[in-house]
Amino acid sequence: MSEPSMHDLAARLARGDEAAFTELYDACADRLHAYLVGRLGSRDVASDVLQTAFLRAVRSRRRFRKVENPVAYLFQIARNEVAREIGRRRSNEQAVPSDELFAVASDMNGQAEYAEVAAAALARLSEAERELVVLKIFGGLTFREIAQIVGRPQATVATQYRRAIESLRGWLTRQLR
Amino acid sequence: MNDEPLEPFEQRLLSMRARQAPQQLRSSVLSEVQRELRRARWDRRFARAAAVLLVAGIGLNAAVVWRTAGPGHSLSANVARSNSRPWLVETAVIVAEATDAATGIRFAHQMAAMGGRTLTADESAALDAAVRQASTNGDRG
Repeated sequence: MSEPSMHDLAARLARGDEAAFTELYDACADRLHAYLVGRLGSRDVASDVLQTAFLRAVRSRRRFRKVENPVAYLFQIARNEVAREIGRRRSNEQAVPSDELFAVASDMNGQAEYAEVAAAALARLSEAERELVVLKIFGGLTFREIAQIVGRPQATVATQYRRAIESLRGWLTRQLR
Repeated sequence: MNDEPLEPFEQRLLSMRARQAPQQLRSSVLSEVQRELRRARWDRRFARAAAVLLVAGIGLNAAVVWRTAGPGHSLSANVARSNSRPWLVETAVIVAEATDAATGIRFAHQMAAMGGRTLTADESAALDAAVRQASTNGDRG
């Protein structure tokens, strides 16, 4: 979505335009859901959190007036919801089941095994690193958007992401050797 | 640091990315959104109706005071009190909380006009600041 259309969408969202919320959903629901599955490890919980995030966005819709990128803002709301959800559980250490995280047919060139190892590798990353990988790969966001969401400088985010990817790649290579 | 094209390793993870959001989630989320927006619209209508009733009540009250003020009553003191700056600001804030900042400010100007005076630039600025502050706090809450 181009920047002018983002501004237009943000203005319509702030006015409470129903069609604008539908557009926002269609623009990012799949990616947001994938991000939430990556963080929470369950498609059902991810769906609940996505719904809650949308309702929060509706209730605070006037804030869209000051928002440059409504998609990034929605991810930010969802991220806060993830923190609440993790706080409720008190522990988020368990690995995300690979069949929840990845869409892989079990007989596809050993992809199922790869997916399993990749899910385990993701679980080995620190919470902060895993979040960056999930935002980038599963959320399909740019470093600029991620920086906005996590509140860190863009260059820092990019460096930390590269480091996380290197450690993920290294671990996967060792496991699959 | 800009977004470079994804490396093959990242591409592979991306290609296996989780499935789409469940189809039924779309209708569920969007109907909740619709319900919430409609509820907000009704809340706003009720708030406007309440503000109109408040204005009418204050107007009637002023009219009654005006008519009943006999020789022994100090009408000018009554009007001056109800037209003082703190009173106008407080009333504007209450109306703004029930409706929005612009309505609150307009209402205070109207009340001042009913009392036969126009707000000075300083008074208007103070009024604006108080009402906007109250609206911002309301948004946060």
